[in-house]
Amino acid sequence: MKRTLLIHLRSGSMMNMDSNLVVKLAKAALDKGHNVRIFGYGEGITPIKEGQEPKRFPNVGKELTELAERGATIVVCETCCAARGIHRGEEVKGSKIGSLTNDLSKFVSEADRIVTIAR
Amino acid sequence: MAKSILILATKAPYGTEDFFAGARLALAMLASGSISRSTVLMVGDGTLNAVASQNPGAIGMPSNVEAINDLADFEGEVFVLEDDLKERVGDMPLVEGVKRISWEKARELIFDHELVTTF
Amino acid sequence: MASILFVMLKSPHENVNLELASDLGGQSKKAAILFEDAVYYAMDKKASKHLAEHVDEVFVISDDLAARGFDCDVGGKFKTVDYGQAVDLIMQYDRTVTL
Repeated sequence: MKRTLLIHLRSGSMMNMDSNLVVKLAKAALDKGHNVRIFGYGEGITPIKEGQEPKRFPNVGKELTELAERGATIVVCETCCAARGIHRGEEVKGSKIGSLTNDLSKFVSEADRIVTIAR
Repeated sequence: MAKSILILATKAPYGTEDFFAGARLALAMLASGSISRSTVLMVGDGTLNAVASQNPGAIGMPSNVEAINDLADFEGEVFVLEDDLKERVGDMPLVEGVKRISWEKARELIFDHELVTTF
Repeated sequence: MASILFVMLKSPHENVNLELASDLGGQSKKAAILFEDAVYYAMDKKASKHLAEHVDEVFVISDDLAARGFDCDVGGKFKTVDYGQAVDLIMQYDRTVTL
C-alpha cells in the first residue's frame, strides 16, 4: 500500500552521517512506492545549500535533487535559513525554503509515519 | 493522514535550542489550522524546561517560558513527566499552564497522537 | 497490540536514555532500529544486554555494521536488515520515536 513517509532532519550536512541516512531512507521508501516528504529544521536546513562540494564524502545536495526528481518533496525552515545566512535562490534544485506553518503542517497532515533524524 | 503530533522534549533548557525549536514547531502546527492537536511532553532532562524560576535573560537567550505561553494562546497543551522532574531537581514550582503527568498518562499521550517527533 | 519502533543513531557510549523505551512503551510491542553508530549495541555485550532488557526486538542496519567491520549475523533479539526492510518496519509499527 502506498503511504507517506515524513522525514524530519535536524542535523547539518557535514556534522555527521545523518543527512546521508535521510537520503538512504528516502531512496528506499521511494523504491517501495511510498511518498516521501523531507523537512529540514535547525541545522537540518544546511544540506539544501547549493555549491557544497565535499571532496570525498557523498554530495547530499546532489542526492536531494535526485530524490526530488523521483518525486520526493524537500522543504526547509525559512527562519532557520535566515539565521544561518542562507537565502531563497541558494537552494539545490528540487528543494525549497519554506515554513513550519505552511509546509511542515501540510507534510504532517499528509503523513502516515514520521521519522526524526536528530541528535 | 495525521491531525495530531506530539513533541517529545528530551533536552534541558538553554544548553541547546531544542526545546525552543520544538515548542515553535508545536505552535506553528496549531497556527496553521490544519493540525488540530499539537502537544509538548517533557521527559528526562526535558522536564527542566518546566521550572518556573528560569531566567534566560541572564545569558541573553530567548525564553522557553514565552514559548510555552505562546502555545497556551493556541490551546496547545504542555505536560511534564513528574517523576523525571522530581528525580532531577525535586518538587519545583512549574511554569503556568504546564501539567504534571505520570508515565501511565504519558503512554496514553503517545498513542493519542498520530505522529511523535523528538527534540 | 499497539507497537512502537524506537529509532537510535548514537553509540551506546553516548548519552542515550534507554529507560525511555520501557517507560514510554509500557506493555506495547517495542522494537529498536539501529542506524549509524547505534549498531555498536549489537557488538557490545553489556550494551546489547541492556538494550534487550528494554525492547522485544532489535533491528540493525547491515550496511552500517559492515562499514564498521562487523559483517556478521548478530543473533538473539538482534536481526540485521537493509534500508528497504527499515522502511517496512517504520510502516508496520504504529509509532516511531527517536531516542
